[in-house]
Amino acid sequence: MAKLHRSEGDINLSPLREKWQKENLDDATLSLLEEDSRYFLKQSLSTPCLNGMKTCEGLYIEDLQGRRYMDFHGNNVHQVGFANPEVIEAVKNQLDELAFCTRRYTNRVAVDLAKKLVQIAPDGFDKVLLCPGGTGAIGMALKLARVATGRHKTISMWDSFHGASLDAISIGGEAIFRQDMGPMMPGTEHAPPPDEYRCIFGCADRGGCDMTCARYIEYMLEKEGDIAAVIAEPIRSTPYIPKPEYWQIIRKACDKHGTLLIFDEVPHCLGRTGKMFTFENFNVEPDMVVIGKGLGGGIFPLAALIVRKGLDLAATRALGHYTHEKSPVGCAAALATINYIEKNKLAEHAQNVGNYALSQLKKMQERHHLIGDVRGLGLFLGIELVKDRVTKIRATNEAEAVMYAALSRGLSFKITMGNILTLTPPLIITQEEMDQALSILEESISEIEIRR
Amino acid sequence: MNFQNSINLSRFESEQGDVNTTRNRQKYWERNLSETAGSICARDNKYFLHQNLSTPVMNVLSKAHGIYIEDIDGNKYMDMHGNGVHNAGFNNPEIIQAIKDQLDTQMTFCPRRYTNSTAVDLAQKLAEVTPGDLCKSLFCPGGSEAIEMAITLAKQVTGHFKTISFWDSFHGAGFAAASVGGEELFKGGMGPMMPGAMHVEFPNYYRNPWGFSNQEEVDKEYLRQIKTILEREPGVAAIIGEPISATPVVPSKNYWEGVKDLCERYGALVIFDEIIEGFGRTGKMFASEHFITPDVLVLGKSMGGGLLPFAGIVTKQRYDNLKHRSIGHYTHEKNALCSTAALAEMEYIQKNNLVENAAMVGAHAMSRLNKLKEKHPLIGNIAGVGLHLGIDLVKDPKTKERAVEEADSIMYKAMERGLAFKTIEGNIITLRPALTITMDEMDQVVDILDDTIGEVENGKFY
Repeated sequence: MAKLHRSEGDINLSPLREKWQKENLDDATLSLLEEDSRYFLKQSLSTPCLNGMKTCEGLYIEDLQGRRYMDFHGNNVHQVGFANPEVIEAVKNQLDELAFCTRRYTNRVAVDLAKKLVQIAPDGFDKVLLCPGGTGAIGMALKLARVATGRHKTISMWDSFHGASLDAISIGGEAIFRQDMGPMMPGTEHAPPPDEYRCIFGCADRGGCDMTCARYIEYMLEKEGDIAAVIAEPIRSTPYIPKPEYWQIIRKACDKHGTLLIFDEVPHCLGRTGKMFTFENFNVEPDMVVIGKGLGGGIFPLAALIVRKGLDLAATRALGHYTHEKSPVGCAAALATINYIEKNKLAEHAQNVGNYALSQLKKMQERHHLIGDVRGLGLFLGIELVKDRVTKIRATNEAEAVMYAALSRGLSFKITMGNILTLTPPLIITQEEMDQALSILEESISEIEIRR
Repeated sequence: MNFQNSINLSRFESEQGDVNTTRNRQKYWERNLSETAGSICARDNKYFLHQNLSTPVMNVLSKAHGIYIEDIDGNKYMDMHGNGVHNAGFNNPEIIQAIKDQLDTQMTFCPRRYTNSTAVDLAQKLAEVTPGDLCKSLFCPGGSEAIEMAITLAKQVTGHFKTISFWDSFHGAGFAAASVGGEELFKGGMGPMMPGAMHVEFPNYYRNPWGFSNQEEVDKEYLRQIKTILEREPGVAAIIGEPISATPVVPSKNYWEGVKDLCERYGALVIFDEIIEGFGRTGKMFASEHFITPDVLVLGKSMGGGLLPFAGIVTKQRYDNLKHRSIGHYTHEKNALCSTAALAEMEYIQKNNLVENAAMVGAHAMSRLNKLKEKHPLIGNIAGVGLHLGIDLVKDPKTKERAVEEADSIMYKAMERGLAFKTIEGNIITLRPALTITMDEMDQVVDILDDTIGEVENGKFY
């Protein structure tokens, strides 16, 4: 069998998963999974599935056997918690009014959402375009960048994920989406992402990050000379947090070469990193920002492109010709979501609980040699497991074992790059719940360390 | 409006639909927008990026029900377009109830490593209702992404990367979807698109370039073109098309059988885009049933019950052999709410015999439109099947020159009389009402068309 790429997440073809299923799933669940495999196309990261779900609420998902799991992944749609009653209420009310809006018309709630998005974005962002998914919104941003600059090339990052369509996988940097697909979109150049812990430019040997990775992008911009856009997640899901200087250097280089800077904040927008927009942590502003996932309140598929003044340049073209462009129901869900985040100060709360969790994780790192690095921003946290702290060899099997051990104790999270446990709980999580999750995590890590 | 003064609309500007930059649009706004509507439109213009088939928009909607949309001033329009989502009618109460019930179970989102019984029920239902041996599904939020999943599957399965699709077709706005699409609007000024996307003409019996009047001769020539490409450009992964074009030309069964034979011979898959035509629109549950079973069927629009974004592909068992690959990595892949909407939509269609209704009302409309054609020289051709109908307007029945300005005028005139439809390729009026439409309502539609076409014929432009 070909090498199994683990960059995007924990995979569904492993013996550990089979073992976990054997020990934990009853006949009814197994038969649903069998039906799922019978009627759905198999692909990595979904079918065959891990388990069957019955319901979800707040911080928790509940499986068919009534077991509840704190969901520290939630595909990142759950900023306001699953099945948020205020979002549900807004959706139901809107269903009674106007459930769909044909595209040559507008409707009040869509306009209200656009206005709200412009208001919560920093000054200077003044226009919005909506569509059902993050992938589509990335495509709209790329098209607008082409129209605005008259160029077509892009620079993006290896290991990044921007969606599953051809343009999105072309700027994305993961083999699981790119292999055996024939030619990608022309002109999609890639650079290594910032990662002080595993810097490919060897900055660890020079006493820490000296911005070689940012200079490399500056170098590429200069060599190509006609790059339309640099497009990247301000924080990769690993989540290595670049220094503000990193984005500031790139911003300056983009300005110098007439290149637009596009931030993909689909997974961590709307408060997760302690700010409404992730880039606000870096004292830098992109020309366009794409948000999605939790925008639809964890219920409705919705994404948005928000752009700076002067970029409303495609009036005679079709940038985002999407049927559900101004969905009144989706917009009602998004407005309720943003209002909920503001009213309950969830961004601030994410910062507080996140800071607390990070300090606890740092203490945990001292107690466990399996933990090579802990990092994060707000409620976007990662724990890198290594076989050896000096060689930093990825503890891939151990990470997967920890994941299943935690799952059995009622904590669900996702692994990225094979060995990094990522923790992205809903922003409504309390400090007590975080403590509970962290002790499950520590017990699970101990269990695997002992087993070794 | 004086014909000479009207803006010179080119066919290409208005290929996908009526654009928002014409003088008639300006006039419509002046005549029809109330103060309230005007102020919301102004805010819409202020906060949304402009693009030529949405913002600046026509008007503001406040309600939609059954075959009608209703603007903020309470004016009702029979909507013959509905962006294709309204097969079961707008705001269908049974679908809305099903969604509310599902919201109450709190099964509102399914992380992708889990499944849920509603999504599985839908996949099973699709395996049952789709034609032939189609039995394996994959879902995503929109048709554009679903088209890409189909292309991706074809690339993975065949090991090829090239595609053949049709000029003038629309398959979505994403780069790959726009690349296989055949419209300038989505590609012009865009730089390089998906490599290997080749195009041929969709069969057109009314406007075939050879002047043939015999359908068989026309088919033979179109098939010969495809065969030429397959021979000279080895490595085609798939031929992608709508079984019936949007205009709508209904090809012969012989044509699609010929395409299928060629694909089998050269190792390419046949992908049918039924995003608009699926779920009863053409008088069959799926338009494929008029022709052949494709290797991959792409569904969307009405699949979301007319209110949720939802789409997907259904394919054959033998293509379910992806190993460690991800072809549709979409957050809302198994969204239980969207699945509920799709199940409720299909249940409503079946329970109320909407497929049969589409066939019956469609046949009635067709015969009335053919009578109108005898009366109005502006009507060059009537095409379609079921409730997927098109009226090709021409300046001269002999030259078949497209009557673009006339079509635009008729559209705005009809709009002011409570009938909304979309024009395509500049001069073709398309009629795709909710499948719940009655004979009486369809008669009203034809009457309004009769009047407005007559007026424009007599020089009374909008």
